[in-house]
Amino acid sequence: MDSNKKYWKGLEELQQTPAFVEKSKGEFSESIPVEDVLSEAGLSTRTPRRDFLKALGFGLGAVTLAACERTPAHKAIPYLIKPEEITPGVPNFYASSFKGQSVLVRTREGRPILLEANPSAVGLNCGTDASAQASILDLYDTSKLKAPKFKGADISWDELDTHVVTALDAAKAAGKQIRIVSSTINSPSTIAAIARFTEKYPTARLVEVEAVSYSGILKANQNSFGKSVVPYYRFDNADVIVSVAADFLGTWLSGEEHTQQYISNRDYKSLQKGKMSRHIQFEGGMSLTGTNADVRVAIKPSEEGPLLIALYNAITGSNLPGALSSNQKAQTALKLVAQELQQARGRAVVVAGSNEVAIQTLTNAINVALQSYGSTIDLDNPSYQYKGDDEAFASFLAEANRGDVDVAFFWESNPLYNYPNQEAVKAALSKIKFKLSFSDREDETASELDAIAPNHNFLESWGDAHPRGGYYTIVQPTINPVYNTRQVEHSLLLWAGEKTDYYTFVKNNWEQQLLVGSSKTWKDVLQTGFEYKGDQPATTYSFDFSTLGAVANTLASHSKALAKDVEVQLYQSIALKDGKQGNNAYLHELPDPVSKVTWDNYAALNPKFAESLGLGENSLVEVADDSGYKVTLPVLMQPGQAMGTVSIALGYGRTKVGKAGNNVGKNAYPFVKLVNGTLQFNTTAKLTKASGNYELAQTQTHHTIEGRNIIRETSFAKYKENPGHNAGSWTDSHKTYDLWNKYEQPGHKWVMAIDLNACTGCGSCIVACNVENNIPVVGRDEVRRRREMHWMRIDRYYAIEQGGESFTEEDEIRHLDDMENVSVVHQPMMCQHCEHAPCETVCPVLATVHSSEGLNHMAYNRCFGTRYCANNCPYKVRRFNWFNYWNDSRFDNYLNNEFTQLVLNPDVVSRSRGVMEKCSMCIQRIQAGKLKAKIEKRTLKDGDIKLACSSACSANAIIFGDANDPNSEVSKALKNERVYYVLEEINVQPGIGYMTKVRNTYEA
Amino acid sequence: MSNFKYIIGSFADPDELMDGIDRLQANNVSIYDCFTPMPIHGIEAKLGVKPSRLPIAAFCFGLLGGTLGFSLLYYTMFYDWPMNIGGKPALPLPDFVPVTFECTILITALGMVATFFYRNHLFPGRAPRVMDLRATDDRFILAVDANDNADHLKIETLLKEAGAVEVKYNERKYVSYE
Amino acid sequence: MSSHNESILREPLITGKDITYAKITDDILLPVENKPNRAWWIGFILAALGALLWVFSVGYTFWTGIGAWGLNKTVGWAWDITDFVWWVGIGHAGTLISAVLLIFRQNWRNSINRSAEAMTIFAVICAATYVVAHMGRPWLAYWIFPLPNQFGSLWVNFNSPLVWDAFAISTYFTVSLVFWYCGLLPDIASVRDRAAGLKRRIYSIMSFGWNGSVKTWQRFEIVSLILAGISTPLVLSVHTIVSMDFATSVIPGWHTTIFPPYFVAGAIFSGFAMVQTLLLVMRKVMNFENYITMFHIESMNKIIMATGSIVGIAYLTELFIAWYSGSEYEMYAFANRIAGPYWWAYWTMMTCNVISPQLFWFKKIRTSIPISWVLSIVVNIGMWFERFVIIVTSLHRDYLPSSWAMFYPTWTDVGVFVGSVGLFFTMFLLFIRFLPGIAIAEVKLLLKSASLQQKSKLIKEGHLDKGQVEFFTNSLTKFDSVTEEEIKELETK
Repeated sequence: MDSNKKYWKGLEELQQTPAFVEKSKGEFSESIPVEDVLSEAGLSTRTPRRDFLKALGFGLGAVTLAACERTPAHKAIPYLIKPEEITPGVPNFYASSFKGQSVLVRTREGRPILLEANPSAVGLNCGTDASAQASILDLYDTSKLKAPKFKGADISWDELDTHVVTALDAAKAAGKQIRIVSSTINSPSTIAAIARFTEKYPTARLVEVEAVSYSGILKANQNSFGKSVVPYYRFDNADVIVSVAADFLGTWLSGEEHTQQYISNRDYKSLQKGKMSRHIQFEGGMSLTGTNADVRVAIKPSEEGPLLIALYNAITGSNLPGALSSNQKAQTALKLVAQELQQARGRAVVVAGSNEVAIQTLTNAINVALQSYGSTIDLDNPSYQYKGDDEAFASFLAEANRGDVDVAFFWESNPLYNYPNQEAVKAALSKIKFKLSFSDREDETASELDAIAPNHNFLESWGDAHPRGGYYTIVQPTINPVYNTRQVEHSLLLWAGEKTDYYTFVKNNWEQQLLVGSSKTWKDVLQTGFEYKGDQPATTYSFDFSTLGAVANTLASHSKALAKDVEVQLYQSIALKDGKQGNNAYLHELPDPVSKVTWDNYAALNPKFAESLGLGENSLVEVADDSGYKVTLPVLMQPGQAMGTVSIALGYGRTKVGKAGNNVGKNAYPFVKLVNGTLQFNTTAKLTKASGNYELAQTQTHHTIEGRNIIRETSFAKYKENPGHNAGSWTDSHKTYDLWNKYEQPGHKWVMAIDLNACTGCGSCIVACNVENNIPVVGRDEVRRRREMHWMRIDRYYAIEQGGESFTEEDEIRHLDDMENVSVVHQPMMCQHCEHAPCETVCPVLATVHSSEGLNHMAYNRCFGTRYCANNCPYKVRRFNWFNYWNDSRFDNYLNNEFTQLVLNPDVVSRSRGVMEKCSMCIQRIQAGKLKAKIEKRTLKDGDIKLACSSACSANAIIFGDANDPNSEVSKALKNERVYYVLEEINVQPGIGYMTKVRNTYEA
Repeated sequence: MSNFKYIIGSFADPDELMDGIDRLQANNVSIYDCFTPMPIHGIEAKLGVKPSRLPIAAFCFGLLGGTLGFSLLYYTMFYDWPMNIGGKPALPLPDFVPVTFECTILITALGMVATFFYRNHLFPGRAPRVMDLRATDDRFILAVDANDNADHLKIETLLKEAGAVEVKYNERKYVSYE
Repeated sequence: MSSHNESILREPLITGKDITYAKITDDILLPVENKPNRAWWIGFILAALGALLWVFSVGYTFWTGIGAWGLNKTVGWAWDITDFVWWVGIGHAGTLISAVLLIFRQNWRNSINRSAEAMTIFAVICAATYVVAHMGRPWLAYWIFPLPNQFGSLWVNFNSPLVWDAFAISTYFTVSLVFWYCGLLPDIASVRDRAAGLKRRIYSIMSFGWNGSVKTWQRFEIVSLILAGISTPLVLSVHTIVSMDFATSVIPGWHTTIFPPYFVAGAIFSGFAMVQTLLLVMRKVMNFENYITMFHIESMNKIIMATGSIVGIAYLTELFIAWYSGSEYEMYAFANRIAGPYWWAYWTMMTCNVISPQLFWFKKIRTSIPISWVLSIVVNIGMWFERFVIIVTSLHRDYLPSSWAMFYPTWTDVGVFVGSVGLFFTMFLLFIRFLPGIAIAEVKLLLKSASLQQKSKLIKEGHLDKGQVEFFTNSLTKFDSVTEEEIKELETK
């Protein structure tokens, strides 16, 4: 029986006096001072006993958790209040775009850690190049400005604004010119913003300039078709591709996009359809594209014009003067090429890399003759990625010299580093009253100007891009601005007196302009990341062939001018391109796809030519042009380089870019010449042997396969007879015995298929792997000691062709006298996850064992570093932590700095000193994928899991998947007749199949 | 009167020591023990010392070692946590040979030597029980228990005849006792 | 009875006039019982400096990481394992002398086995230091043993030759140590009974209370014999297992079935060379000429020659098999050794190990102390290069040419090696200073059978075959410790 007795303490309770009621309410409750904690007061606020206990409890948990992981992350600050879109440990993806390419940004706990191509961006590139992959590191670059500067001193934005506005108003009042010097701007919103700015300051004008410009093409198309645009090339429609010194798979326009199109006619799928395009490359230096060509003919820069004339004559049957008379090899090749092209009318394309108007005009003529326009070249949906106009900048300098310009803004433009004529720029700048840079760092130019208004990193910005006709991509921030920076458009709007913030501006711009008549809303766009408005229908273009006479003459004179001394070809390296990302350690350590050199640019010379100059390995050479500029560069023996030419990479030798990039290599921009309105990257110089030696840091120092069967090649003709030609599995020809029973792999069996025909060797997979797996950057000296840490590498092998034979053995090659004809093959190489892994057997402490899913596991914490596994690895893919790379001042590339460490992928531990590491097939992604499927209560689908390398590859050369799933792409690919396994005969049973390299050569 | 415990005949030559043993035994004088700076072959036979059983001990230790070694391998590699190491079976018998062998040798050696030390009371710090300090240098010592054998003069003469350089009467059993 | 007169044809193992048991003790304990001479001090200071260098180099390596060495992604082992194998190899001679020669009743071992065994122990210690030092995380070295741990069922990989190594080396070290110390007991007792005061107390503790009673000696001899019996297969197994570090791998030039016997022969070869190097100096500095005689020196030279030839044949067999196998990788590996970037290492090895020991066919060279000494050092240089060639030339160019690389040592590599030599000599010099460098008891055994004075006594007694006597006296001529007069005197008889 329950009692309803009531005990009361004191009369107040009995009488329930208001005072008592008031008190008793809050008797035990104490509000948790979250606001205080979050506010500036931070943790210094007074903490009530209970919160203290809670905190204690949590702290205990947190510490225990933190203790479980041996990561270099020193502090783990838990969320006090969890943002509802973030689950710790689960990545969020945001659609954004990098240089106009739609990408997904992978963020963890609010920090971007990886870029991936936006898979849903149909028609756009679905791979990323090295610079896109590495750009994530630029966000965490400690060399960036932390606040605006005025006359070298830090300053608040308000003050800066007043300075700028006064300067602008003064200029306006005085009717003087205002110039915004910028690299190409194709963002509709930015253009709108600038328009808004010019409303306020009518004398303001935008000057677009590119360090490496394509104004040759722009002008040529202006002259030929009255359209000053860079066309959009469609290599996927081309069966015959002729490139004259255009590195279109690498740095020419958008290489990755071209790669994707180009490979679609050459990869295993296309080959199974019995289709393979033919690609002929005429060039001086050995470019990435050259290494992939079916036929590559070395020509000097001075021969480019004559060669095109000859080609034109051969195709159209006309006879322009000045056709190629020298270079027998090229001429013979030319005849065949001409026939090929004629047969492939409408399915052919000819591209030229030169920035010379005449050459581009002639190329246009040839393409018109080949009916390329509308099929392989699209002028109606042109590319807007490079609108830089060399003449515009020249005239800007002239204006400034005249003293007409009072205010100049420099945006993504660094003329004091990359403009050939530094003196001219200095002189001009000195005449300008107020000069401001939007650079995110005190670079060569910014440091010389009055003010710096540091711009956001693209991962902190709102915006959009219009890379080519019909395509619009969005840029959305994935992290709050790290430093006290401000987006350029925002600044411009402010100065123009516009109050709306830039986000609203972009949003309005889209809703009022771009999304008009489209079903999509702004939110949809933010999700998909891009908007495709469909292509413009092709229109026909007439070409006035009568002008070609004049063109031929200019060509003749130019080629005469070039044909003296040593012909210099200035090119962009795959990693650093024009040098904008000059402070990116990932890119500096990315080996050049052809030379495998890191951390330097060099003078690439044909070995025979070098001999004739008395130069050898590790020797230095002084390059001096007639303007008097000279640099001393290390010599690189480059087979395939045209005799009498030297290739030098631009984008190096920056002096004020930051810790990692300062004084790496030498600046070659001053060699560039401004010849009638366009920058010319082919020039001449004198080479003289310099004293001293210099060892380049190469990741590969032996360049041939020594006749070993690790690379299997065949020709397209042979392939058509027998798809399995030269592939073949060891077991077909030999009886093999297995001492042991096979281990069952009932669940998954993770394997890869690598298509040697698809891989162009561009190396974006390497950077992707570095970013995904927190791989240390070790710096030049350690690479010299052959200690780079890259988990995957791309082996590049030369075969020297002479007299119809190809030589791969050192001592044979030593006796050859012609090193111009080289065939190259790229072989991605990473841990093969062998079923009979030699590394596993020898590890004394079981730090590396085999998983039931066919993976070769590596337990870092168990490894004590005997290095036996690495010694016993036939593929030499294991990497050893020689030092504590994340805590050793000598390797201050990115792992040492607490801020830069934010780029680390929390799913992958950073390895301590004395531990072995290697490709894990991104096991963290495999696990995540399996977990996702499990949560969604479904079986894993093929394609659920993509590896860092394969998802970065535009060419789909790396196919990953489950061999136990007969319908997975990889098992299909591995059934391909071309498949072979490297070193299969030593019966380690590698898990990665390679497909033979097929060349569509003539002799076939 | 006879407060000494042992009669010590010290010889300069092993052969004379043997001779001494013969003479004493001929006169059925029981010999306590001999202390020599080096092993003298055949002396144990003379004194009727039984052959050592250490080899048997060694053999047993060998067996033990082998078994322990193999069972360690079997337990760790096969029973406790088998795994796929380079595709090899979890019970790779050939790979077990070296370690099993080494364990056998190790246990044999340690076990046998331990037994040896145990049976001879040899251990660090054990006070040396020496009847004549020169027994480890250049003297071959023949010790007779003075209480068991009464006729000490006879013993002395016998030893002298045999060629003992010196005959001592020890009051303490061990001179070197510390 | 204890002194059965051995055949007069056998050369004496102890020379010198009126040697008595007392004199043997005095002679051998001379260095232990007196202040060390200058020669010892000079040697010791040099060695100690070396040891210091070792401490510094190893310390530096531990501090900065293995990156302090010249290794790289392709060549993961170089000087470290070269030195390791070199030291282990040197160790082997000691056990062979004390064990195998004991089983074969080679009495001449009696006067050299002690120092040889000491050498073994110190060499193995030096080797062991590399096992730890070459690790990326040496503080975890104990993981090599199957210890119960907090991870539950986390054991070691008994497929891995490195684990076999760990067991082999530690067993080998333990057994050698036990063997050596048992042998020391009677001699320590001699020191004890001659010493006084603190010294006596210390040696008394070390002597385990040894008294030369009959039963003790009987068991002592049994133990020695059985230890010898098990040490023989042990010593063979140790270098066999070391060789398996390479033989069981897949690397061309390593993956070779001939390795076990070839390594063992090489080990004996280098070991005897090292014994030679040490003893030739020791007998001079410590005046042991009467106990370590020309006969010993010559016998060891003969063994060096024999094992050297075995090694030579092994090299040639390797080459033949490489060619005969038809495996292009194997062929290249050996072609690369002979004519590749490391050709000089290969040919140094060939000259030092195959050519130089053949000189011992000449008695003049065999019995010349300076030449033997120089050659013994040459042989050890050669054996170091053998290991260097096997390890580095095989690794630096294996299967995929893309990762071929060169190895260049750093100062640390050199420091650790030179230092370890210093460490070795420091330990050895301390040994001969504080412990009898020759097994006193065992030498005493020889006095009445194999000593020169015994044999001359027999000759003087005269009823011996003249021809045999002549043969004997002729054999004496090569002895540097026997004077002309002594020989004259015998001949006149």
